Formats: sequence, C-alpha cells, structure tokens
Amino acid sequence: MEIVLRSRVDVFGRRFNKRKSRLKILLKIPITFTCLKFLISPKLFQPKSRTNHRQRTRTPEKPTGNRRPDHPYPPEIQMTTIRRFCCDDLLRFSSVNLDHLTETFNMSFYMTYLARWPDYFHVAEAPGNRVMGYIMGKVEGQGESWHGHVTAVTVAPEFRRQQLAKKLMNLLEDISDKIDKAYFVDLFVRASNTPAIKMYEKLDYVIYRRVLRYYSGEEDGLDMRKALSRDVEKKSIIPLKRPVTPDELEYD
Amino acid sequence: MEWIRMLLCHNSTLSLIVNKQTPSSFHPKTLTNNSSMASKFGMAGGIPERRVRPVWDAIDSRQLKNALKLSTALLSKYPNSSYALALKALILERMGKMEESLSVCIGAKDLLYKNDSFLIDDLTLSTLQIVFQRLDHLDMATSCYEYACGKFPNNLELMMGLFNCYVREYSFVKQQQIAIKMYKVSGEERFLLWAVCSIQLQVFCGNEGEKLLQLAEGLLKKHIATHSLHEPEALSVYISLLEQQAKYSDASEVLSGNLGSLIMIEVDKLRIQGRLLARAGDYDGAADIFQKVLKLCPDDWECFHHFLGCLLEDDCSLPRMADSPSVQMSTSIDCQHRHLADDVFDSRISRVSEFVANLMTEPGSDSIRGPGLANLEIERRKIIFGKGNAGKLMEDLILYFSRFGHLASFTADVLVFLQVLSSDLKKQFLEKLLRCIDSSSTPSRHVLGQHMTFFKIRELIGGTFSLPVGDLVDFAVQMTEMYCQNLPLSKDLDVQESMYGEELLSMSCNVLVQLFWRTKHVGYLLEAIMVLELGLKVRSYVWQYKILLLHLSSYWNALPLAYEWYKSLDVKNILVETVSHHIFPQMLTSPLLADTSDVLKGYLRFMDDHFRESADLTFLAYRHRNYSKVIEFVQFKERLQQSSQYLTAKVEDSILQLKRKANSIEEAESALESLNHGSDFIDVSNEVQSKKLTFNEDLKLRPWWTPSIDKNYLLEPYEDISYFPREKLDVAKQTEAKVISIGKRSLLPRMIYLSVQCASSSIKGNSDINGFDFKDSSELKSLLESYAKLLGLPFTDAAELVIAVSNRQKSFEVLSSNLIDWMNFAVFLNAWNLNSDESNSSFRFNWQVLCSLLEQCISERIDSTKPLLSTPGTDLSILVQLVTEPLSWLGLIIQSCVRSSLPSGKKKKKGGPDPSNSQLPNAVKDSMSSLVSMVDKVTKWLKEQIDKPVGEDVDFLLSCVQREENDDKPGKVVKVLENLVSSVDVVEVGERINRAVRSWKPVDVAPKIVTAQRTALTEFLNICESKTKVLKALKL
Repeated sequence: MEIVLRSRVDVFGRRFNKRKSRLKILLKIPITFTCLKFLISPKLFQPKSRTNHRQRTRTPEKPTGNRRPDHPYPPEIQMTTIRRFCCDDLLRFSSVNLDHLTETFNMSFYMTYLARWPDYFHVAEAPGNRVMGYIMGKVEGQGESWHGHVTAVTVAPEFRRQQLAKKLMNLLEDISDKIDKAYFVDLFVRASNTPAIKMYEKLDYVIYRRVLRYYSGEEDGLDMRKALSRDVEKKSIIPLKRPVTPDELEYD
Repeated sequence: MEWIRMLLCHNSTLSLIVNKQTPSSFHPKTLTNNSSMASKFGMAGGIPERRVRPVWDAIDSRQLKNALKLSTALLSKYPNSSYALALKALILERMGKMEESLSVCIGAKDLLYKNDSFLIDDLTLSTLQIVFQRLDHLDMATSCYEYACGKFPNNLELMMGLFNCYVREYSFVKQQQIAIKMYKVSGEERFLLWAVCSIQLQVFCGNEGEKLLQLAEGLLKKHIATHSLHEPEALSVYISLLEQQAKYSDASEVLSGNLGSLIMIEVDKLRIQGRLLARAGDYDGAADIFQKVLKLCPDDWECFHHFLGCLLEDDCSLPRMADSPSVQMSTSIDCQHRHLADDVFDSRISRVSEFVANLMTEPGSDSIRGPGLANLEIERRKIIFGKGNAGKLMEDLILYFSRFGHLASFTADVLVFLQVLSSDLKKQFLEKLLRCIDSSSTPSRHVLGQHMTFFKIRELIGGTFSLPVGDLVDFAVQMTEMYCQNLPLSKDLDVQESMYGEELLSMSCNVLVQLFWRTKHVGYLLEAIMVLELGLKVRSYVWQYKILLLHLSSYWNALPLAYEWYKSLDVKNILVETVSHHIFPQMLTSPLLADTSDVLKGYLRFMDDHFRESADLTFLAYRHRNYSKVIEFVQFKERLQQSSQYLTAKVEDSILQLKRKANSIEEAESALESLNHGSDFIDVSNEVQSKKLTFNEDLKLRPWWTPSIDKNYLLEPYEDISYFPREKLDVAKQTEAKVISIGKRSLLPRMIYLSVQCASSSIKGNSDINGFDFKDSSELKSLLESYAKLLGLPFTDAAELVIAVSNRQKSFEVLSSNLIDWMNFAVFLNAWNLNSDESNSSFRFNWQVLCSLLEQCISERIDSTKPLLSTPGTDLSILVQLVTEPLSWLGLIIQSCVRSSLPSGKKKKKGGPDPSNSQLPNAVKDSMSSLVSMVDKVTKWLKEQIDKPVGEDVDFLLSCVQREENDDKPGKVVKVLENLVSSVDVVEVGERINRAVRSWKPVDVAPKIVTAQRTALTEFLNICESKTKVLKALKL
C-alpha cells in the first residue's frame, strides 16, 4: 500500500513545496550543488547528478517480480560478477571513490538508495572480489514521465577503458525498461564535459534540453535522455527548442 | 515550513533526514503517519492551522526568537494544548536550550497523558518524538506512543509510530510484538514480514537462539497457506529463513513451487537454486545449475568458481548467501579436493574443459575474458590436485597475456595463478613475457600497457630483492624514462582523465624506496619523492601518488606535509573509516595536537551521526518493503560500532583533550568532568574485552613497505622479503593486541582524575582523609592492577620492575615495547603511593624514584634520537609522547599538590611576591624542579635541531642526488626528470603537459621536507616551552 504524495520528496525523504522551496533546498543541502561528481568511464565523467533535487511526484508502484533482467547485457570484454550493492561494499569501495571525480556521499544518501531502490544500485566485482565500479540510480516520475535516473556511475582506475560503465548503464536501462516499464532513462551532465557527452551519445542518449545555470547557479547542465521501449514514438526524447531554467524542471 | 507541512500531510512516507551539519537539520526525522486526526478540518494538533502557521513560518525561516514569542502567544490562547507546548520545546531545542526544552517537552507529555478529552493526534506525537530524539530521550518518545496505542488500540498509524520507536531503540522483541498486532489487525503481508525481520534480528543481532527462527517460519507458512506471498522480497526472506535453519531442500522446494514465479528472471532463480543445492551437498545438481547460468552469463567469474567448486566438491568456493559481499574466493592453494578419486577428478575436469572450450567457440567470444581465465583456473586446480602441468599453465598465461596483458587489471587477475608456479618458472615466465612484448605488433598504447604489466609482475614476484643495486637503479630509470617517452600518448586527454603510464611512476617510486632500504642512501628516498611530485605536476589528481607521498613524508618525520597530502585526498564520510588509517596512528603520537583533534573529531562526528540516523534508515527499508536491507542495515551499524578504529578514536580523543588542557589543572578538571571523570571509559575497557572487534580499514592501498598499520619494513634491517602475496593479517592476534591497547588507554582518563585527587588529599594531610578519599585511593589501586595486568605483570611485580629500572638494576630495554605505558604507570603509581599506607620495605616508590626514572628515560631517548633529515625513520614519537603524556600527567599532579597546599584565601590572590609555600613537601618541590629540567632538556635539543640554517639542510638533501658520471650514487632518476624538463616538446605532448613539466623544479622538493620537519619540531617546542612556563609560575 503506497500512498500518493501531495508534496514532493527528495531522496532524503525531505519534502518541499515545488515553487517556494527550491532556493531553500539549495541552501540547505550545499553538498548536492557543489560537489556531486561522477566518473562515468575511464575518461568520461558525469559531473553532477541532480538526483537529490529531482522530486518524485508519486511513489511508484512497487513492481512485482525479480528486478534483474534475464540477460542484461551482451557479452563484452568484462569478466565480472554484477550483484546488488550492499552496505559492506561501502567499506570496500575506497579505490573507486578516492578518485577526485567520484563523490563520497553521506551515509543517508547511500542508504536511502539502498532502502528504496536496491535494484538500481549494483556493484561489479572482479576476480579476487575487487570492487571494479558501481552504479546507483532510481525510478521516479508519473505518467509518461515515469523514468529511470542515473545518479552515479563510476569505475576504479585499474578497470577503466574496458567498457564497464557501459555495461552498468545497460543494466540500469534494462531494469527501467523491462521491470519498471519506464518511458526513458535520464541523467544530467555538465555542458562543458564534452567527452562524457560524447560517450552518452554513443550509448544512444540525446540532449533533451539545456538547463541554464544548473550547476551551483553557474554552469549549464544538459538533461540527456534515452527512450525505452514503452515510449514507442520516442516522444520523451524530442529535444526542446529552448533551454529551461532550473525552476522549470518537472521534478524540481 | 515544509517539514511542518510534511507532518500535516496525509501520507505515510517516511521523511528522513538529515545530516546534522546541514542547515536543514531542524527538519524532523520522523514517521508521519496517515493520521486523519492530525489535520482534520484545517486543524493542527487541535489548533486551527491558521493560528499555528506563523510559528511554522518563523521556524522555517530560522527566526527562532520570533518563533518563541509567537509560540508563547499561542500557548496563552491554548494553554492545554500539548501540541503548542511541543512546538515550544522544538523551538527551544533549536535554540540550544536543551534543558528548558526537555522540561517543556515533559510538560507536553504530561499534558497529553492528563488531557483525556483531547484526541491524541499523530502530529503532536511526531513533534514530541522529534524533540525527545534530539534530546537523547528516545524512551520518553516511546512511552508517548505506548500510551497513545493503549488509549486507541487497533489504530494502525499509531502502532506504526510505535513500531518506529522500537526500531530506533533496537528493541527487537517489542518490534516483533507490535508488528504481530498490526498483522492481526490488518492481515497485511508486510506487517508479518516486519515481525519476521524482527525475529531474525533477535537471532542475529540479539541474544536469542536460532530456535526462534522456527517461530518465524511457522508464521510465514501459516500466512502462505491462506494468502500466499506477493512480494519477491518476502520470498527472499522466506528462503533465507529456511537457509538459516539449514533446511535447504525445503527452500529448493519453495523455489520450484508456485512461489518461485515471484522471481521472474530465470538466471536469478538459477543462482539461488544452485546455491541451495550446493549447500545441501548436492554438488552434481548444483553444478548442472551453475552450468546453465554460465551459458547465459559466460563472463560471470563467481559463477564459474561455484561450478568448478561443485564439480570438484571442494568447500572453498561454496556459494555465498544472497546479497552479501562475496566471501573471499579461493586464492590460495589450500583448496581441498583430494578426496576425489583420480578417475572422477579427470572426468569432471574434462567436463569443465569441454564446456569452456564450447563457450570459447561461440560467436563473439573472442573478447570474453571469462573462459580464457577459466582455462587457467582449471590448470591451477589440476596442479593443486597433483595432476597438473605447470608448463602448460605458463603457456596458457602467456596466451592470455597476449590477448589481455595490456589491461591495467591483468596482474591482479592472474595473481592467483602465479602463486602455484615455482620460482624458476616465475623467472621463465618473466622472460617469456618480455619476448612476447617484443614480438607483438599491437598499437603503442597496448605495448605500454604490456610493459607496465610486465613491471608489475616483476615487482610482485619479488625476485628484485636479490638483484644487484645497479639493476634496480636501471629498473627505476627505465620506468621513469618510459613514462616520459609516453607522455605524447596523453596529449589530447582532459586533465581530469587518467593518463597513460601513470602507474610507471608509482612503480619507479617503489623500486627507489627498496634501494633506500637496502643502501640507506637518503638520495633514493628523495628521488622517490621527486618522481611522484613530478607526476602530480603533470596531473594533480593521482591519489595513488598522494598516498605514497603521505607515507614517505611521514616516515621522514615531515608529518605536516604528510597531513597535507592526506587532506588533498579529500577523505570524507564512510572513507574516514576505511582510509584514515594512512594518517591516524602517526597523528596520535605527534605534536600536532590541533590537527590531530580535527582528524579525530571529524571521524567521530561521522560515526556518531551515522549511529544516530541509522535506525531511521532501517525503518525506511521496512516501509519500502526491502526486508533484506533491514537486517543488513542493523548488522552494518553493529559492525561500525564495534570498529576497533572507532573505539580507539573515542578513547584517544578524550586523552587528547587532557593532553591539550594539561597546562592548567582547572581546565583539565573541567575536561575530566565533561568525560564523567573518566568513568565512561572504564566501561569501554571492560566491554572491549567481551566484544568482537571489527577492522574495517582498507589496507590494500598501503605501500609495499608498510602493509599494515603496525608494520614498516623500512624500520627493520634490509632483508629479502616477499610481499607477494601480502601477508594475511592474523585477525585473532590483531584483535587481542587491540583489545589490550584499547583497554589500557581507556583506563587513563580515570587514572588521571584519581591521581589528581590522591595528590590533593595527600597534601591536605592524613587527618583530612575521609571515606571518599580512601575510595579514590583504592579505586586507583585497582585500576593500577588492571593496567599492570594489561602490561603483562601482576601489580607488585610491575611496581618492582619500574623501581628496578629506576635504580638501574635493570635496563630500559625491558620496558621498551610499552615505554609510554610504563611511564604512565609509574606516574600514577606514585600518585597512589602518596596516599597509601601500604608502603612496606619491599615497595619503595616515591617522587624521587619516579623522577629518576623519567629523567633517565628522557635522556636515553634524546641520546638515541638521530638527526631527522639524514636519518629518515627516526622515531620522534616516543619523545613527544613522553612529554605530552607522563610528564604532563606528572605536571597535573604537581599542580594539584601546589593548589592544595595553598591556604584557601590565597588561591585567588594574584600578583605580588608570595612567601614560599611552606606547606608543600620538599619532595614535590624537588620533583617540580626535576620536571622542569627534563622539559628543558627536550627544549634544548629541539632548539639545536631547529636553529640550524634551512639552507644548510636543503643543500645537504640536494647534494644527495648529485652524482658524477659513472659513480653509483643516487641521481640517475633525477637526471631523467631533468632531461624531460629540458627537452619536452610542446608539439608532441601538448600545451598543458608541456607547461606542467616545465614548471617542475627538482630544487623545490627539498625545502618542503625541511620546512615540514621544522614545523613539527616547532610545534613540539611550543608544547615544551608552554609547560616550562606554567611549571615555573607555580607558587612553591
């Protein structure tokens, strides 16, 4: 029994009024605007996720059935075991998180994701049980905006340039597509981060819109999307003609 | 005002927050129940919402004074409203008026109980809960909900609130009881699962026996019989429950029955099935299942291990439990499957080989590493069984190298296979690798990668220790040159991206450190630092270099520099638990007291914040029906609470406070008071011995020369070590040592307190001794006994030992392993002795004996301390600790004596010449002079070190890497770097790298080390000088 929310709740469960509170939240959670950086591949990174600011308008219906798709990725270079992330992995991921582009969040951030979207939080392990990288994300929105969101994806230096980030992204896309029947997957990236944008484009993401001064009120962000099978007409990814301001974001 | 609105909303979402450091911490952490009572008809807590709104707005905009005013006005209108009172309490808490807040909150609670005519609404309860929680009175919040549930039985929302209270208190039994009630009221599956989880928690985290699991199973079975199950997580809980009782076949049956359809994804179901079969001992069946999984996921290495493990019926790769981190899979040669008959072994191995061969021939398989590695594993197992062919394994390794040798992870991937090769074969393997690289026609990036792999393997195999110095120098030069030559590959990379060949510099550093260890020539150490610093000039984000530099600086007594490197790693949140071991131990024994305090406080804040919010997060998992996470979260919290580092930090933080306040007895006393006179730590000392400590430090990232916190090869004579594979830590031994060390340290605050008391009453005279003083004295005696026991001797023997050392009947050597502990013991022993009537002829400890002991100790340390710059690794920490611990405690005891000897009227008198203090025994006066002279001695030594011209030290360092052509001194690697700087070509490497390289100067490195050493020494000097000043100002 999940109850539809009246107001918005961020990943911390903080709820606030859409119009009034954006600025307040900015002030209240400085971490999210100043330092969210995510490494997305050996050389590419998605600097910030707006996840903390993206609001859910309703609690998704909890899908039944196992969340992990049957054959989530085509066999590629990796040799690895991908499994759900668990708390103890927080004590094993230092070689991944010491990277300057990978943000180490506070505990409630990780644990809220684990408690709410455990199927969107996976870790890849190499022989010898070494943590290669991980992906965290969530599913949110309503109606045709029901979508998967990539919050962080990161790979340890020794496992870069092996397409692991791609594999993890594909996994999250598959879960959003096949299990949660979402319309699209989205992510935010700094407009200046050309290598990251190029990589996302290779993974079939398109720039849906530009969000002006999205990062700390300075740099623009790009909202990139990839349509999933439920969006037959690919409506969710038709680029907007004009840029939007952060206040105009549906989930913020 | 959103948090209040949140309380009002008709929803049942857990609102969770909040990191207390953030300004938003006034937001309530609470469950807001779907209470229809809360805001019925625009009412809030029984008050019209429009009247409460101004208070909310004021709180929300953090105008707390205004909010308080408004809430007082509200109270005057609604004097009987618990909610209005609760709001006032909340505002007071926010204003930091904790006591007032608590009393208002208790008033609100009492009102709630008394006021029968009002409905008890969830808004009031939630608000009270928030305040009580923040005031550390969870029990009161719970009793409010208990009362409300008693008054309105069968109200689900209130019961959920109560359940949440029990979750916060970790009262698993009560959780279970209320969850069962909710289940009975509503019949909902989720409440039953809440109860089941609460039962599992009683077994895993409480003291209940596993029998209780039967009860949970029974409850679930009954429910399933009538209602079935509807959530995959519920099924997982059911299966885990069966597994925990070793009912594997029952679990398999459930999985293959109707309920199994909850797991819609075939491969996941197969994995669980395989696991259950293997655990039940049906290896054949399990192997079949794992084979199916491998067909679907050929690169799943863990699954391959399970497959092989089941076929060979060994127990070293038994499938783990679902969702837990992998158990360490067999990486050593201790797998036992020798019980298989030869022919059975052969047939099973050929089944695996055939299967892997098929996988490799499947379309697109060329890039799959799994099967390639699988072949190596098969060969390894054959060797372990005694039927393998090491030559074949080596050939396979070479083949594998030719395909994947360029990958950075290659070395770690194949480590386990190299272990079974003999040292001769390892050497051959290296030669073959080189030939393979020479003959390969791959792109230059791949060749670079292969070279790096070759170097890494050479380093790990460990043969380098027996090579001539010249060869090692050549290796370092070769690697550094290769880095320089390959800079053009990274020309177009963004500065944030990892560059090609970065690891070459770390490896070059490793060789240079080995050269230093072997030759003791400081130049190699300086070169190691230079190499890394150049690397950081080129790209400043390489944390691997920073960790190496941190350890090199700290080894060289340049701790402020090491601390800078540590800070540049931006270690925060959970990383403080896993990464701070790089700096933690050095800081604790350093003179950088303020920085140490920052490190400790930051760490403790993180841990304590987590403990505070963890229960709320657990409840979030309950709410979202992710039951497996519930158990995981609680176990994780326990793991952190039992962290040896956490317990150490807690104790050391209190000791550090005392060290910093030791110059003033009043300040020290107030610090002691805030520590409950040290009593709390006595409990730590007792608890730690019964607890299972956890060690969460990630030691893998430590440099080769210091693989664990207590080990540093560079402090030992050079030997041909093999750090491949790294020594496994003996956890039992480590725990034992840590228990003793935490136990000892946690006695200190109380012993300091008692010693000060004893000293004071000894001066006041025996006639003053009342019952209390006697109690202090006997408590101190008992603590001294415990302390001595932890030092390994009975009390009397320990006392006699220090006397014997003081009288030079025994040498300091006997105390050397725990010198500081022994000196502390002596100081407290003397304090106890002042008040004791137990002195007898065989036990003559007094001020004189103590001072003689300390004086000798200080002299000995100073005499044996070599110059820091030319003798890296010099242990300055003992001297620092002597001054900041035993001498400081002695100073406090003397201050206590002096204070007690002054007539009470004189205590506050300031200025003016005082007549000498006739009350003070001469022995104390003598001890004070002796203490001053000890500190002076250290001061003098420190000044000698600091007063040398900086330029002289810098010149000395630089001269260590200047060499003539053809001599065998250090400097070859620096030459390579200098060549790079002078010859770097902007066209080849690009503008950014060109600029970075050109800005590097070898001469910049030396002053940094010299300055950092002096900074540390100056800090130490300041400590000494302030002590002398305080002691000299005492009125004797």
